[in-house]
Amino acid sequence: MLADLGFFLMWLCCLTTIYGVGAGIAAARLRHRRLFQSSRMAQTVTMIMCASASLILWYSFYQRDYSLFYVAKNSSNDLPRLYTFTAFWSSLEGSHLLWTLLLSVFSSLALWTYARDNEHIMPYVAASLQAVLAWMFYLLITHSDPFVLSLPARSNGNGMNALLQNPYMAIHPPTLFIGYTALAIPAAYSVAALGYGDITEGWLRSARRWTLFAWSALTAGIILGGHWAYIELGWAGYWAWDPVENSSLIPWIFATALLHSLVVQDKLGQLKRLTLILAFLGFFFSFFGTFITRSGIISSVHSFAESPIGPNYLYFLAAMLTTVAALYAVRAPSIVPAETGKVWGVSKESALIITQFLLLTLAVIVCVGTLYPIVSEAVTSERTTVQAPYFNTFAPWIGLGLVVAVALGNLMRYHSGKIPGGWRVVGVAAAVALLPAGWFIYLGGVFGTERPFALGAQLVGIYLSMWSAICLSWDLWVRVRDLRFKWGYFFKHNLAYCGAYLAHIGLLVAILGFLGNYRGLAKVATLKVGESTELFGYDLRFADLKVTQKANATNYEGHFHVERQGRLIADDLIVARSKYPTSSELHHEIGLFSTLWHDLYVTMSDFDKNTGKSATFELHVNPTVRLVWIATFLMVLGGIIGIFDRHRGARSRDAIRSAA
Amino acid sequence: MRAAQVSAFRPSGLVGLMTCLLFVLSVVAVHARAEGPGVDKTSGSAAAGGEKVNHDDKLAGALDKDKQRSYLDTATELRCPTCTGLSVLESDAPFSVQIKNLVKEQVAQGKSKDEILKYFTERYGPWILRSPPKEGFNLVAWGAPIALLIAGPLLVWFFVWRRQQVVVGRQGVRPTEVIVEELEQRLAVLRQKHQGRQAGEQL
Repeated sequence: MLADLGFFLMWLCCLTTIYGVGAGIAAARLRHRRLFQSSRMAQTVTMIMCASASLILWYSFYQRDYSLFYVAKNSSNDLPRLYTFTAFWSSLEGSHLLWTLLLSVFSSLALWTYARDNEHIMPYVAASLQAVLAWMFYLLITHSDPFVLSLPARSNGNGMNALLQNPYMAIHPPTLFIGYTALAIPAAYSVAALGYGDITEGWLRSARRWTLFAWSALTAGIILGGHWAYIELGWAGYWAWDPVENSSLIPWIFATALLHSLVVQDKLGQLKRLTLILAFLGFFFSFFGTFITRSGIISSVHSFAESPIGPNYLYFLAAMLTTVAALYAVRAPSIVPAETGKVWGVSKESALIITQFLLLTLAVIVCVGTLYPIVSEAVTSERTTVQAPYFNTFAPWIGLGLVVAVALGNLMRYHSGKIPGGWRVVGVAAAVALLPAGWFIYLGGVFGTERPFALGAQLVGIYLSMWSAICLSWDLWVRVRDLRFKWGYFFKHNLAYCGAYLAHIGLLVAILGFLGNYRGLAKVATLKVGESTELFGYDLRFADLKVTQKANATNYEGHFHVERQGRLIADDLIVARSKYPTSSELHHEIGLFSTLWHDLYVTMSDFDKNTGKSATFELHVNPTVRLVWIATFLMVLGGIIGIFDRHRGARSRDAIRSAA
Repeated sequence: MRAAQVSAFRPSGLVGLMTCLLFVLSVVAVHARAEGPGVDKTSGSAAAGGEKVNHDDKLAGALDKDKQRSYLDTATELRCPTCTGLSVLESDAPFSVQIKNLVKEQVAQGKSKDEILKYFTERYGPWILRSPPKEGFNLVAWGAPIALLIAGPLLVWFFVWRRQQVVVGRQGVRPTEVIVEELEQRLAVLRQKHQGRQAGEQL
């Protein structure tokens, strides 16, 4: 009964959004304010109904109402409370509903909190957002309905995918979805700007805030996914250039590029059209990524989300692309850059262009690498694989370019190739950087690397990152010095700058962390109970093999006593394989001891099922993984701080000109 | 006077920055020494290969250092047939273990990396390689990024820099002389006004 209500609500949502699109377009064409308000009201009602439908699904999960096929498929009686909550999005239909719910919430938020200056374009924003929503609701009531019944109701469900029963999986998908859906707002603003034929004064401010919000969520979401892979999949890595990971990285790259093009637009009134394109493509690729994941076009670890709705996605993507491309072709010529005299040349704006180039090249490489197997199969009918070696051939060079561009770009000024303090600063930083780089190289044990290329890459990477960080800090120093070291005052009035500083430092820390991959160690050891093994100074004594029951899982636990040079590291490090009642596979529960410099990462690859007295373990020493997590924190914090800046975009270059 | 003070800040600022940096570094270094690798070079000498090292069963243990290296180089280039994104080296799926054992055997026989990869390509097709071989249509995948990296800067230069060079007399850009003349005119007007006011006050 409730399930029918849920379906009915989604069906109504589809109608209200279609009305909202119509009302939005009419309001825009007729310049009719109340029609816009009506469209906005339709959106709000949609949000409420969609939230109600979602609540019904959650309620059914907690009621263990197995008359719902989705509930029966993704939960079972023994599922803990937390995972009953997250089971909501553990499969295709529910994650669609969550996606739609988030999009409808953000759309309503965007429509109620717009800046007064944007009034003319808001009907277009309302129409474009609701057009996307209308399609999502269409999908929800046709091909991806979470309220399908399966009668008679069973007494127990199939259970949730055991890989997803992890706290990180409770927050990774929603965080990522927040990022994806929030990217719809800048995209809608850019479609609105095209529809209206100009960029209004408040445009940049709103687009910038939403982009920063989406970017922060995406950053957090992507790395949470990496963290999940690291601790759950047991292959000792956090990034595999897996198609699904790639398809979350591409929108992130576009969002990053968008942020940098917004800066140029804010300061100089240039790159407006690039901004519009990037804003749209960011959202487009977030959808495209979903298409790759959901259509099963490339099978991957995330294949639990496959379904036969691929063609539908493809039609929608094609429709979206052609509509916006046509709109762009017609309207873009009327969106002109500010008439500014001196731009480009050697200056900050040029450094930002180079950053754009590097970022977009990376996006293209990731995209080519991800899609190449499909293309190759279509063209030559030969199956190929594109995995990490391909991406790792190119990505470090882009990273290198970005590290240099971050340093020089931040030192330079708009309209001017001059650096405060002169190019001497760059040289001094290069000399000073030797110190922290040497310190890092010594303590990080970089010279343990034997392979010349890996060693060289690390030395160059570490040195340049340190140099770049010093250049960045020098720029901060110069700016605060000019305010006579009123740090609080500076911070208060330059939140955008401070956020960017943190995010850029975060990038450099992340690169330091990534470089650790060049010097990882690993070892496989088959041990009997009581035996010891040794890696990187760690003495691991295999103390015991036990079988325990933990929540709904049966664990086969290997217990280790770990010492390092006579110092106790862990009295009882547990490495386990766990068996969930609903799946025949054994899942990894890793043993992890982490420091700033490296992680000791232990998995059990096999154990003697007859005697229970011996097992095979894989031991890894993964350097500087923790730096990657720290870096993410810095980047997300930077993004959030940036959102609160009141000055960016408040007086765009165009506004000043028109006021003059 | 004030300007002199500000510029005097610069060297001392840098010294201050470096002192702070040194201090932080030394504190962290002392703290981190305890955790850092420092002493350990024992397993490093045997295992550190830059890439991850697996020395499982007897066969691999029997391999000398060069062959170990060759085994690792080869195994990282082969995909795990049953997983996504992983090499056989990173996976302990039964299929991967079989492949790893085959690689070990062939390395022990003294086969080179290329020969082993060829052996697997003949059996499973290029699909088994983690990156497509650089030949035929695959050159598109390898060439595109390189072409982009080379052509990109040229395109940027051509479309953005070159076209947007400041052209005097267009897009509202005026020659310097015109601006100077205009400013002087304005100045003259202001002077006249000022003189007029002074004259008025005197009266």
